[in-house]
Amino acid sequence: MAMALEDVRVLDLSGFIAGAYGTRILASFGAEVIMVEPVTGSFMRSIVSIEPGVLPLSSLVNHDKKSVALNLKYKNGKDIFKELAAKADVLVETFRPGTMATLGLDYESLRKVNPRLVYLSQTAYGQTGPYSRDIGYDGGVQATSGMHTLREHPEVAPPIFADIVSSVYGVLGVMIALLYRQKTGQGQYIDLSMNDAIFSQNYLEHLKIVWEGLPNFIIDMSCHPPRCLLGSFKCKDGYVVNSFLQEKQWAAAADVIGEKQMVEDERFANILSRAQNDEAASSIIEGWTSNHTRDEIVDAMVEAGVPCAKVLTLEEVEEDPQLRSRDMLLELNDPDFGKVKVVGIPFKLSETPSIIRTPAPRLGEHTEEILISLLGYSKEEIAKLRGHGVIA
Amino acid sequence: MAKPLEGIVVLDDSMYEVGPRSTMFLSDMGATVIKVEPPEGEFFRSYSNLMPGAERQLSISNRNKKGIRLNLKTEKGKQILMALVKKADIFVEAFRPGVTKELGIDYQTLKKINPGIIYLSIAIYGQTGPYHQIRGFDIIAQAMGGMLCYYDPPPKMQFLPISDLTSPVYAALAVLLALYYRQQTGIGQHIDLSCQDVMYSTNFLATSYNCLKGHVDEFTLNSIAGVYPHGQYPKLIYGFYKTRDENYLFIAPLKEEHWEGFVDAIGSNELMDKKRYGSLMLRARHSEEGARIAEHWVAARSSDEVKRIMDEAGVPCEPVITEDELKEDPQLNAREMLVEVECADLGKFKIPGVPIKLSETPGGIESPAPKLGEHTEEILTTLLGYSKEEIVRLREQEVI
Repeated sequence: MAMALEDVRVLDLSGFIAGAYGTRILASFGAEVIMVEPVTGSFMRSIVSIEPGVLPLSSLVNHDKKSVALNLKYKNGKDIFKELAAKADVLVETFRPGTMATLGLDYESLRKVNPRLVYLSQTAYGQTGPYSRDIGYDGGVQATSGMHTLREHPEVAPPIFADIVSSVYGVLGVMIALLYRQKTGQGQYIDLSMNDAIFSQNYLEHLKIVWEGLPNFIIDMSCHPPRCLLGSFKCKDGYVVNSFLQEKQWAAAADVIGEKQMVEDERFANILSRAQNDEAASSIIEGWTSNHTRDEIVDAMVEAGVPCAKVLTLEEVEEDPQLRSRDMLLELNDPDFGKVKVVGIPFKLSETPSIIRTPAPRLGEHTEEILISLLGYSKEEIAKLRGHGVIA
Repeated sequence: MAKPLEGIVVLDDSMYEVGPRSTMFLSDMGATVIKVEPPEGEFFRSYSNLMPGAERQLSISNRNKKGIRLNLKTEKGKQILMALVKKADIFVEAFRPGVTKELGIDYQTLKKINPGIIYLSIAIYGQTGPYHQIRGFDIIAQAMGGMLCYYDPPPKMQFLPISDLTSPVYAALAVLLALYYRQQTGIGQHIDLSCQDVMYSTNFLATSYNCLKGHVDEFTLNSIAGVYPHGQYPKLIYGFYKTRDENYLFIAPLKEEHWEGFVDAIGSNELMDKKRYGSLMLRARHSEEGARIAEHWVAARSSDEVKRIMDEAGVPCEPVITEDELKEDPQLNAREMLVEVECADLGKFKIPGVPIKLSETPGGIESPAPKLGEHTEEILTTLLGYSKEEIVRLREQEVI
């Protein structure tokens, strides 16, 4: 099968999930993604992997990539990197602003060796603005983009989210730039701030901002929907989520539950009155759900045309037949770790589907291959470079 | 300045949030996105009946677009749509699987009219698999993607329509991958995006749990995945703390140099104990008692003070911004993440800016969301070559 990005070569300098998750999508569509790592390995490799034989976190996002271990602090290392950049289409880096310039490998320097290069810097706060120097992690970005304010438990660190989503924004930027380059031959620089990306996901804040000065009851209802319109309900064996946003859904639910009061009581006559009497309305629903299993509830509600689903646990989500049938969890054979699972791609292209083929590379697994086949180095030169600690 | 997607024509036959937001990324970058609406307008326009001015909401995701109003229930209306399909590069729909076939606008049909078309279908469970016919929307995809499993009860915060906001980023990426391929080969294709798939792959918690299971010990698994009810991220290396002035701060001394700065700043001898805190994994194991020391220290200081000290010590640290602060935030403002737009009846208001900053072809916000049918005449005359008289007639026949 054809691959959408067969002719695209990417240099990937990501230090962690941010960045790496995006280049992984490019790799799944056929791009040759070459991770350029320090000779001691990227930070990602050390997470979880406390001893040999323990699968590092990096394996989740680095499958289908190649690894070149290169010391960028040496002049030789920089030269090799520039040779790679001359042959690359895309570069992705996630260092703090200024780091690449200190190395002499910033966009301005590299465009001289390759004007077609698309250069993505994905950082916590972007290259400009008062916070641009801050060291950012996922949790920090959730804190400053207004995401964490929405949570009920501010003392609990939220699950990783910003790293993943902003990486998709990052490669979206790369694809826009590649399309422009197709027309003009010109590369460019992309300054992606994770904080900008996650702020762009904060729709509740956007609503408040665009609706500023308007009467606030709709703002409240949209931002904090009462449970009887949209909410989770306790069942015998966990939770379901339900939506009764439309009148016909509420009527259908009343039928399923067999509670005449839900349609007869004037407190529940329409969406606004139900919202005002949320506690009473929700407790009728929960009175019923708490006596049934999730499967019973979902079957009955879906049959009646009411949107409803189980809240899946982590164990269940792995076994979910829908996700399974759509190849969302795939297995690869890793020579060091045996069978390794990786996550599939959530969109299916009919002509150029994603392909997941090889497990994450060992550190420096492709150093020699790339230096010989792409850059034309000899075995002797490679041995010398290795001896000097320039490559590994 | 040039916009990178100039010349690309997108026909967007979706409403609510998920579809329109996908094409927003394209219209921001100069593609001509034609929003096709039924005579009564898209669902969100009905909010105006409840609250005058509510239509401003449409500009969040429908800025920079052209709007046409078209009655697809009439034969003539359908003909106009098909004429537009011929001119389009991309077609977007978010109906329940099967509906486009009933309407005669499924991929197979449109492909016959325009073989190079890229056809994006967004559905809650995608176009295949045992659940694909089941109705659903945002919150259902979250629940079925494992996004709601980590608290008991499932937290309200997740009612932020995370699926409606995240699926479009992947959808736009998919469209551009297909477009890139088409520019080289001339071959169009169908894209099948499932919101449940998006939630699952975006949910690092679920995916890392499932992928690492069997490869690491239980403690590590729980602290990496941060899995309720088993455990959470180890606070000492990655946590939120409450300050004296009742604000919250995120502090994450993950790397060795951060840790050294952190211990110095707090000035705790206990945390210098190499046997307990000498490596990242040891700090994770002894997180609870270590974090208690840090909690104490933070609780005695104001948010500003902690931030200043941590910055000086080179430790990653960010305060949790409040809603009021967000609008005035100097960083977001410096990066033009809030842009003012104006329209005649809705006045001036702010909408979020373009999140992807390209140096040569930066994109931008030229106009707020179109009024219902604002560009019907323009599109029909310039793109399809209709005459003024024909347009008058179509209007009388209630086709447009």
